[in-house]
Amino acid sequence: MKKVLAVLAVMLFAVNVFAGKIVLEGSTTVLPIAQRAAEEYMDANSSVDITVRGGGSGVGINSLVSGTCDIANASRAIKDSEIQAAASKGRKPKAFVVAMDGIAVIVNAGNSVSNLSKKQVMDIYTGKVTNWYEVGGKNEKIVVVSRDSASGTFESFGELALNKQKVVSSALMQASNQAIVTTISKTPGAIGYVGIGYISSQVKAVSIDGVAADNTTVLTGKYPYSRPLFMYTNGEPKGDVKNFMDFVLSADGQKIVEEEGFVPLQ
Amino acid sequence: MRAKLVKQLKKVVLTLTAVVFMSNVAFAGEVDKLATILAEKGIISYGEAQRIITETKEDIRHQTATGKNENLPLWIQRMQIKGDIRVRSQIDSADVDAVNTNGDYRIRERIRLRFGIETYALDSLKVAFGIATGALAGTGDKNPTSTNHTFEAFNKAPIFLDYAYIQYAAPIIEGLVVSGGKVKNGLQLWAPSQLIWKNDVNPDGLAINYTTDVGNGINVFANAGWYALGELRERTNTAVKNGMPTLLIAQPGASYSKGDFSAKVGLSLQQFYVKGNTIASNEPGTWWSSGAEIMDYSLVNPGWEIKMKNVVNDYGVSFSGDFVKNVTESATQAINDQNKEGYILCIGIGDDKIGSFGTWQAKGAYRRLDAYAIPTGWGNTDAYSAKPGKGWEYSLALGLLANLSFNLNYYEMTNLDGQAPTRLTQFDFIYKF
Repeated sequence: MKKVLAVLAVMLFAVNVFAGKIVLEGSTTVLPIAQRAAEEYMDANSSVDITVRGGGSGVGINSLVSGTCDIANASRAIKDSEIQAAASKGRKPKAFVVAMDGIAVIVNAGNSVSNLSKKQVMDIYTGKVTNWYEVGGKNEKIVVVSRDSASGTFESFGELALNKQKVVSSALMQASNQAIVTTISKTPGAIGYVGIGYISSQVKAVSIDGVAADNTTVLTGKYPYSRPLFMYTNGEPKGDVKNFMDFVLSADGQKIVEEEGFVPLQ
Repeated sequence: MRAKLVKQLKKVVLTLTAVVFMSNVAFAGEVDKLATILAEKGIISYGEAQRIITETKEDIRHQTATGKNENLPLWIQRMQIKGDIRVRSQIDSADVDAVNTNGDYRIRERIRLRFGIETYALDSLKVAFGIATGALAGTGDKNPTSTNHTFEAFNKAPIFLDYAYIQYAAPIIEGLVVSGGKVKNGLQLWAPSQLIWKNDVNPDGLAINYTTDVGNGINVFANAGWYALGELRERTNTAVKNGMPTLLIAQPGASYSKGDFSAKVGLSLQQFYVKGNTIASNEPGTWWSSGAEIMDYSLVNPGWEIKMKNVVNDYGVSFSGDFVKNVTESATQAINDQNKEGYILCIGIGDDKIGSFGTWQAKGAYRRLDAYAIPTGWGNTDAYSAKPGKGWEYSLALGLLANLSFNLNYYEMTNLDGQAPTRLTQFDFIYKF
């Protein structure tokens, strides 16, 4: 009996010692993908403990460089200066594209406008254009709808569409992609933006500079409001980090990507 | 059967990608085309094509940035080139007064070239040097504060070594950098203005810079340095020993940044040990006094800067200020505590950076500088033609193309001794590369 207990104790100790721990840190845009993926991965792999933190792409990459995280989430490519900083510490950031970020501009289904230029979108969202007739529509006040500032989509849209300018203060701020769709569908003259996975028949997605928002134009990078989302590891991943990255890029992982409103790679 | 064929083709694509990547980074574009064609033919998905293209580019960037390409030496892979060409038309004018009995009016056409290279010999060792135009002693514009060459008789413009230094980032203390040689301006200290240090001056000596992130957007920094202003040469039978003319600098400071708001403060202490020495500049009496210095200079210099981006659309606003007091013991009755101070207050509005067409910045500054606040000839020489003086400075910068800008600078300075105002207008076209 004592031998059995001893063996069990050793096994328990071994499990604790070899239980994997993975830390992800960085982009708030990638955060929902990372959180969902971590939850589902831990459900299937109870010996692995995954911590997910936000902070922004720069914070995540700095943590990867300094060795305080295993995977840096980033909504932009790593800078040369960051690569050099990593190299000076013997670390080698390795890029994995985990999803494509595509943001569709949507209007009320009754709106006659079906295409906008990037400049027109910027002018509408910064308050320079306030009536649809200024962009080829009917004489109707534009109701600007936006995600709230805590959302990654808000951050992405600010970078991709607004050149980091502020959204006009009169904009109606909504807490979710679905809330945007609902508001747009019920408000004539409204314009909003959502992750491309949230386009529905309730609203009308306008093309940007003549390019429609769909999975193919986002994946090929032709759609203006699209960009790759990254996870960076230190060199070729091994062990638990490799297994986790394999999961994110697997069909199950890419399903999470789609469910979170991003464009999957598969 | 088809699934098996697709799988095999994917392997071929990935193998080809690896071969192309390994053979030469210049073929990265070929990978793009190959992946795109295969996606269009349905052999791989657009998502897989995007992954191949983007991750290949990222791998190549990593290889290039860290100098791992075997075709070129490490230091060449890491080499960066910077520089600019400035074509300037400058108008100087002064009204008639007791000193300038005929007044003064002068138009000069000038050019500046600066060209610099820096590279990492090792991960922690940077080597940098730069050359720049200037003028030889005796031909005008001949001091450390200027890189202008004035057009005259189609003369060739002389080229000087502008800076050259070795910089070591100590791996055991993150944020500590030590630079030695003719170090680039900015390494000796942080300054929000050119009240004391014109940004063309690159001091000779040793600079130590330390910065650390203490969290919540706050960085603390410290700069220190030793610089040689001449040589030590003492003969055994010389009664007076003045010591080596040197400059010591110490500057603690801190910065804060959150979102569009940032602020920075610093307090520099600059000790010039020059008393009794004659500083042999190319322009005696302008850059330094023409004879032996009658006193040391002990400068206490607090400075601050506040920046707010995107206050109105893309446009931001900045405020900054510099104050200097020379606290050295007065050498003569004429040099007293009332004429050893100076300050500048600046405001700027416009785009954060001058870049493409339509970007702009406008700045205004008011300054006052006593005769003995800083060593003779120091500071922004464009503003101090009438030192001790006070006056206004305005500048407007407009982006014309991606790297081409037009600058207009205007200075109007009044001499504190009562001379008529002097005015300086500069029209610049600047191309940066």
